[in-house]
Amino acid sequence: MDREEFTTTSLLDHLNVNYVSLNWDQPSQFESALSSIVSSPSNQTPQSDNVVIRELIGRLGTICNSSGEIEMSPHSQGYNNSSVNASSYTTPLNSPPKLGLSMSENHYQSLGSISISGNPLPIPATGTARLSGIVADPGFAERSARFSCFGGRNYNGFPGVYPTPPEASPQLLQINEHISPKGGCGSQPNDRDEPSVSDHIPVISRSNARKRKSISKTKPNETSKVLSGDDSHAKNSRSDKSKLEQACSVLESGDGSQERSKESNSKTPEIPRQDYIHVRARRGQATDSHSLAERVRREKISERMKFLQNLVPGCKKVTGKAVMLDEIINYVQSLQRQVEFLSMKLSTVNHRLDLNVENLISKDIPHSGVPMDLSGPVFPFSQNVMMNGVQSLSHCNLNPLDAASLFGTLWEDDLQSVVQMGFEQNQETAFSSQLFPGALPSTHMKVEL
Amino acid sequence: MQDMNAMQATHFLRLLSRLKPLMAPTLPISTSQQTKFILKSAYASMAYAAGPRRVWSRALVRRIRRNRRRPTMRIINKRRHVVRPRRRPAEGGSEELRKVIPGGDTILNGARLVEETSDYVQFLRTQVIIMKALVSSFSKGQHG
Repeated sequence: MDREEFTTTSLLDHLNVNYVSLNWDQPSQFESALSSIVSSPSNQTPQSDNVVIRELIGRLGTICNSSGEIEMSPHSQGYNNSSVNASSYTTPLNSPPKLGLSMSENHYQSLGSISISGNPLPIPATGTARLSGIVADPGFAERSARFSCFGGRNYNGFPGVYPTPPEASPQLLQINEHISPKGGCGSQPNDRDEPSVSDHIPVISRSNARKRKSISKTKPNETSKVLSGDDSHAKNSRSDKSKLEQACSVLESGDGSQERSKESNSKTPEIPRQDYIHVRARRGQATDSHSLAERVRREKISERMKFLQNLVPGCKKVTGKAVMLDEIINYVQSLQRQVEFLSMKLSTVNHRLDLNVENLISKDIPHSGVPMDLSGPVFPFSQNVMMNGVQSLSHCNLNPLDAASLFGTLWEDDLQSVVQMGFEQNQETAFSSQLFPGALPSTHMKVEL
Repeated sequence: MQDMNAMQATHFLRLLSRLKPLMAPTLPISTSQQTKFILKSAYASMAYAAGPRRVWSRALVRRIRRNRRRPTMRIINKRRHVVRPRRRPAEGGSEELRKVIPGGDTILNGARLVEETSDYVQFLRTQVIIMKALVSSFSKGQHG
């Protein structure tokens, strides 16, 4: 009991100290959060110390989470969710495998796409993603349990792109170091905690093992693309996950898992140096090289399927690959039909409106979002922009020229010329009247481009 | 992060704006042709925003180009047209998906296919939203 009280008070001291030293953007938020945290242990019973401490950690996580989100994007959850869905994909590797542990849907999407977004370092996003993803789950017990797993010993933290995470991590580290002597206590948790914690930790450790394998597997496959940019990131993420596993082993009761995680911790520094794939066989699984490779492959596919599941509405509840696939196919087909239908609608509307499209084209891309009734990417142009001002046709004609000069790549020129040419062709086939000589229209149009 | 949407939107608008100079009364265009043009420009702007790294975007561009060729060409080059890469892709229950995704039948890897699918879905969704916004703005402009 004494030890527990000591750790709680030292925890609070640390909290206060660290709060003073932090330079977070919105102190008011943290004040309220921290005050709630500070006030909560006041009515604790000795028996529920574990719970309280986990709660503290969980709430700290919310602070980190909220600050992380603030750092990343100034919008609200939904906006964030929708705005970054269609973000760029730098390399194929960056997209789903960088996603963290199992998370709630909102966080999953927003954070996954943040990591995708082609920001300089995907790992800080992943790191905070893990943080916030972990925290986002309902239930303090789960959150705090994950958090206590997450800290580990030498938490390498983030490469410091965002000011908050590097400051957050040493806090967590300290707190978790205080927690670690309590590791024994963790083996006798409350009834409430036990099922959720023990349920989740194996999931976490296994998913970590999975992620580690996937990342290590992709290394030899895509060395040129991946290693150049993502080497340190992969290492960081791997070390993060190994620490998570390690800390989880403290709470987990099985011996084999502990050994496994310790070994994996020793193994992780070696992985980046070796060329072949280090895949750890799980308990009760075949250690055949073929089955291992197959398992890795299956896990990669399932990872991406999970991401796809989040994209397609109504796909989350469905279990089973076949039904999900059908749902996805239906969704894609419905989207394609929608595009077709909308193009018809657009053509009829344009006929009537005489095509005021030039109103909509602006050089600057306004960053204000439009509240759409659909869930999905939010649009940069607002309704006001559409309604405002009449830009002249000359301006409109300028745009293609500027576009051609700005984007010098063959890709865009190809597309533009393709569409333009195509339209000309269409006209030719439709009207046999030779308004322009044969070869001229395409070249003429290209010049206009 | 919004850049992808912005790129797609502006490109689509740019392509649409090409309709206007040709809508002069001297060159009337039938509605169906206009529809087809708009549809193709929609896919073109999707593919443009996605970039050449994606299998589906390349396949989309190829598809657009293919339609633009003269119909007679197809008869002449019938043999060449038929001889497409007939690799036997690794199926895993994704046969239907390959049919739907442009260029999907050339993707061998199952994981890569799922990746392309998710990417395609995202850009499709964006495109749908763009077009809905356009339609609503035009109809608002009409009534408002």
